[in-house]
Amino acid sequence: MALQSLDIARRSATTTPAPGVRQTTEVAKLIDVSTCIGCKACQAACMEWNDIRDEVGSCSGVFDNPVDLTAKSWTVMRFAEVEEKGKLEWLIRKDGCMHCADPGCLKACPAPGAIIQYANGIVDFHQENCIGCGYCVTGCPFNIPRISQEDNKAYKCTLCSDRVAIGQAPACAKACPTGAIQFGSKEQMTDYAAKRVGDLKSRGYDKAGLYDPQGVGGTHVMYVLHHADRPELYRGLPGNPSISPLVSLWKGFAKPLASVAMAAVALGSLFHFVMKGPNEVSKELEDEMEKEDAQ
Amino acid sequence: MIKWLGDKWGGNDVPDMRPDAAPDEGVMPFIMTPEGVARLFAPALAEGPFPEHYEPFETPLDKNPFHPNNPKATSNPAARVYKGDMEAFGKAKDFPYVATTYRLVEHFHYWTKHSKINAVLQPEQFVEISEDLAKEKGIAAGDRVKVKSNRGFIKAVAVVTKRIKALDVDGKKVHTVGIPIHFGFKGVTKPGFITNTLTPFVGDANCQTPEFKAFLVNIEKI
Amino acid sequence: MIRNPKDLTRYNAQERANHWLVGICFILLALSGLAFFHPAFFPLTQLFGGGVWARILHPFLGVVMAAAFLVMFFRFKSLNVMTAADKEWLSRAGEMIDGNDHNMPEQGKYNGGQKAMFWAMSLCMLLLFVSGVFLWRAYFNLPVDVVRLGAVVHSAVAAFMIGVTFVHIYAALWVRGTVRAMVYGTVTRAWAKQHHRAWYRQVTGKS
Repeated sequence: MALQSLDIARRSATTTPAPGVRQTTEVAKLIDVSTCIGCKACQAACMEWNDIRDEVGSCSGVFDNPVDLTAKSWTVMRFAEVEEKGKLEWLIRKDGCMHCADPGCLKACPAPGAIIQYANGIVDFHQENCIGCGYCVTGCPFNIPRISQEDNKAYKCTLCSDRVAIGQAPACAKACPTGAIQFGSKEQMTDYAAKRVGDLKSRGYDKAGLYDPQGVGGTHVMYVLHHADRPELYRGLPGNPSISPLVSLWKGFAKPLASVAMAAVALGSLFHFVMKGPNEVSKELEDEMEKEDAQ
Repeated sequence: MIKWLGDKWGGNDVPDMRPDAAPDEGVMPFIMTPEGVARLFAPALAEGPFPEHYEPFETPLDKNPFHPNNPKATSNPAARVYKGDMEAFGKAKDFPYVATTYRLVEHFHYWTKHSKINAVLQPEQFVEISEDLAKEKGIAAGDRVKVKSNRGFIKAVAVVTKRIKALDVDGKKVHTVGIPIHFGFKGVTKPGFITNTLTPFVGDANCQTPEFKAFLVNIEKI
Repeated sequence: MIRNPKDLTRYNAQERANHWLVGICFILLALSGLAFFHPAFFPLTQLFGGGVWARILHPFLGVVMAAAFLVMFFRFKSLNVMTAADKEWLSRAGEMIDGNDHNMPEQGKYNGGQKAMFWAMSLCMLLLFVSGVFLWRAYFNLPVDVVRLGAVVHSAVAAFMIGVTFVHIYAALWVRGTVRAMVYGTVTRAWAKQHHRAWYRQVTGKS
């Protein structure tokens, strides 16, 4: 859509900047893990809004269903029973794309325009440009994108970019019965989170805090955690996520370095040829052979 | 508790009758009773007069701890139990664990097992046991188990959880097996068993609600 | 092109076919690989029918190239063992590059530079194959840190190998009479006497 291109901040595999005159407010989805009851209404809403239905799996001995994100399950609840000092907590985290300000998926993607970061912070996959290589999975610090077995394209949470574009909240936020998922500007969400953290601290969770990891430039999906000092309790939420240095190298410095090196070898060969001339077999040896043949 | 503030009733609660009815007007506050006042005990019930503790008809204990010397008061003598139902009860020595049935948030009663979205969110019948019981019986999370009562059996996946703990009841260690109700042999969920195969035929003395929340089972890995 | 019946056979038909199979695969892999490596080269995917086709074909071509190269490896490895003469040749390779090749130590079928090229390419092929498997998400699902390492190794080694292959191609073009060996299979006796005297003697029996 013509109007949409004005809201793009970054495109994957594109060396030139996107149009950037319009200024949009950055949005954020705030997930308050302390208020979540693990009812999976968000999973149901996501399936209904996006018309995606995953396979009916099986019970693997936990409440997680499906057990992992897939190309057709863009959000899953991850359950963790944590018992410490005689106190049992059932920590339930809604897993899905964090919509990083510095997206690892976008950095790694080789297909121009397959991954787009909008000016409002949403990172969206444009599957029509996706080549299905899976580099996005390699680049993501949170292990989110999944390649579909059916069409070999990458899929993940879109933060309901289509709903947000017309001023609505994402489907999951709309459906959440406890108000654990809030949506608004990043500033509003940070303020709301501060209130929630204050409330948690007053109830004895003195390590409560907001999870907005700066290692990826901050994220547009944030968590209020009871134990912000130990994100690993929440089923593998990384403590200090950042784009892997291997990915930064591979998609950063290596590119111009290798291109220049290959061009240098090619040009070097050309210049060697014109400067040194070809390496011919010497005339004496040719004459020697002719004499031998004549004998 | 509310009190007369001079012009109206106020306090921690909200009055059920007209809020500005002065005490000397004689307006009775308990609008649901014919007397208009609170009752210490209920006159028209099948048992009473005061609330009493009775053990479920299938109890892991051999007596009612409140009335250890009165076997007739072990379970509610006014409960509805028909001829033939008494014989169908199981004994603690054969069925040592307490079972209770409950609902899951992902399903509603028995019809959501036919709904694709609900089935994706909770696809297969399971029972929940404590880590303690799991270790005792050699059951790991995800294993298939058979849960038997004196009336029948079900087979399900085992979920091992810290949320259920063994209870210390009158000095005896009592394990609980949690059994969600929603599954069956039809539907888009994985084929399962009917939970009420296990439950006992006994109704509450007043409202006939079946005693499905406390009965005895045994469990083993299959 | 007049073919002298006294020309020496350097490569037979199977060896030539094998080499060109590897060569053609390499070129296709380099083009599609560069397309994934740098956005400036992404339009090269159109040669393969688009980005998706390039992504599908690249690893299969890699398997074909690796298998064909493996045959060449076993066929030629004994001829590429480094000797003292090769080390001397390498230390004086600068003279050769300058065009002054009349004082180089006597060479067998392959000179020190060619042997170094053989081992370099063999190592690169192995690294590319293994790291390529790590990256082949259509069929393999390895832990992400393994895949990340694979990505760095694959792109670095591929860029290096493209450079090394330029040298390989250029050397064949620069030394006149060499390309014929791999296209027709033969070289002139004078060519052999000049560039690979020990091999010339071995093949002809002459001094």
